[in-house]
Amino acid sequence: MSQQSTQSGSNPSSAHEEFEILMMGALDGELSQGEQASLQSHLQGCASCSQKLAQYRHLVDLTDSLRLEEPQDYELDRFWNTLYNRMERRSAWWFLVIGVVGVTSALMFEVFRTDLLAWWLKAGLGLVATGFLLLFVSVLRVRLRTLPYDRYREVHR
Amino acid sequence: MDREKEKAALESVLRGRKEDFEAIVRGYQGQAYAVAMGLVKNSNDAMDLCQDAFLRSFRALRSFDTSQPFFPWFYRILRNVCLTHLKRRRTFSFLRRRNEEDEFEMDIPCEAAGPEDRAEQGEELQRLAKAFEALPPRDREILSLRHFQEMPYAEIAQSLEIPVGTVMSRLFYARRKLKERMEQA
Repeated sequence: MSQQSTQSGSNPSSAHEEFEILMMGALDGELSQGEQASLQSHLQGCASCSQKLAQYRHLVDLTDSLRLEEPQDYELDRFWNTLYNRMERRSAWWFLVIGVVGVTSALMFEVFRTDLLAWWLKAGLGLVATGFLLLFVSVLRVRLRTLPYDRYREVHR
Repeated sequence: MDREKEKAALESVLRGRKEDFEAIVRGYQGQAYAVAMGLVKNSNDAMDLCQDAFLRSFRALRSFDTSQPFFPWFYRILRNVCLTHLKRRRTFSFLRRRNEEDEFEMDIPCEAAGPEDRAEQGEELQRLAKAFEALPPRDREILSLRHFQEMPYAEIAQSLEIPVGTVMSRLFYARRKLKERMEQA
């Protein structure tokens, strides 16, 4: 934010607000020399902003003293193990899908090619195989979608 | 995390050694957890969302330029995962019971001298924690990055893909809301 922009506001309250924004940079040690000088000169003539700066300083110090509770070590260890399992399982799922679809298709091809079975038996087997494949893909899709949110996936029986 | 080590680990993962992703995960899981907690306010959800984000970043690693720092790129993935989760949770929020309300878990240190001062400071910190918890995710996010991650403005700007001046103004609006909420409490 340039020095010019902080002094250009025609509305007095928005000009104060621009200096309040600069206060954030001052409290976080992020102001340029020009911005710092501009803020200092405003503060010398504005008691209300000086008071606000003190209030914000207190708030920043207070917020700095808060810390998020960190996860336990065992949780962090489990984190990587679970993640690695998920990374590995994805390729396993793909092998499984390709394998099942491939084997079922090959079996169906053989069934339709042979002369040993009646047409109605071939049609019945075709329906069973199609139903099986559709169910398999549907269950797999739902499982893959819900797996990341399954709270019980790591529970061992 | 050291940039050279990070780059070496990422390149090794890209060559197919996925176990080397562990160095990246261990290097950033603490930061990722703090970011996710700042957004979703729930420890279990934060852990799950971090896992999703790491998994997504692992899968998308081929599109990542390893000469760039990993965290800002990962941060954007994590942020999207968390915001999608918040959106989904808002949609289904009517299904949640009262006692399942989230609680921000914070360590509240007490360094005041006497028992009365300590009590007063403890009370003030409690009010601050409650006010922080009640802020919108967007404000919690920027305050978390500044106060819990101790990120400089330039890094926050890079992570959120906003100009540095906007970081300063967003911090102002977030802190102003925090102050107002503390005063109301």
